[in-house]
Amino acid sequence: MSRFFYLTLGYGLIWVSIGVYLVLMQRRIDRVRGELAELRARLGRN
Amino acid sequence: MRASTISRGLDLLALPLIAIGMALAFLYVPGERTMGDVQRIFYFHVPFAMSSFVGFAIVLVASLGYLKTRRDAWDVVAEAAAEVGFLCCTIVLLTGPVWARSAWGVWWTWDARLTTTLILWMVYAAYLVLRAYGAEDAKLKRYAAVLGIVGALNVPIVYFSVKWFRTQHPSSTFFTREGLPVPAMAFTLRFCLIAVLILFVTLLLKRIQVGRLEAERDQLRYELDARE
Repeated sequence: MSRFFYLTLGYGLIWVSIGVYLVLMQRRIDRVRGELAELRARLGRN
Repeated sequence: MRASTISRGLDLLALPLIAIGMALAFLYVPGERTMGDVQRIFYFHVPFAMSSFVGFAIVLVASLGYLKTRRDAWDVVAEAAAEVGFLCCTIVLLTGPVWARSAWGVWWTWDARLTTTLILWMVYAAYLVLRAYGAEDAKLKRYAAVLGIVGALNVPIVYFSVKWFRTQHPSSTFFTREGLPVPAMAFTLRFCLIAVLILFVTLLLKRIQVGRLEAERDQLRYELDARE
């Protein structure tokens, strides 16, 4: 395989890793914010 | 200035700096004579390695802070730095073998630098597994802090492994008199280091924000349990 293939693979792995991490972190933020809103609403009711 | 304003500013700064760094690595720097184009991985491989070291150094300081004060704020910072440092270390372990396959003809060799980096990665993988299983347990937080400190003590061994042992891995290019032979290479490496460090800080601040939100959620759950 050409050296350009390895270069593309290397940079591809970097940005896919960062992208996956950012997506997972955003999903985690959304989930925790949802839980917080629900808990605040329940605390308001009690 | 509020932390969220700094975080947004860094968000806006990180992406163009990374794009310029990529442009420099691909268009500005001359190709290396023996390795050719694959050597261009080096301009992001090294900065991610340095960022992982910074992350694990933050784990060391924050874990010591937690063990001394038992304040959860230190624990949140330690966990965030471990996670982002682990991500950077993973990128190093992914890009290194890609370069090695092209330069050395093998994906992996049990070279001192590679092996010590893999041990560092495994220690922090264990740290994150420990955190995942006992996020709210004070005893597990203490164990995690000790593991975080032990892991960070491995960083100098990884850094100096190319000096202490006979190794195939290229020697350090930072903090040495020799540095890189071509000024364009040295400039691009420094530029990419700054860009990746800004990306690292951006990710770290976001992860600390997640940790704070989770701490607030746990506090609300505790209050709700106490009322019911």
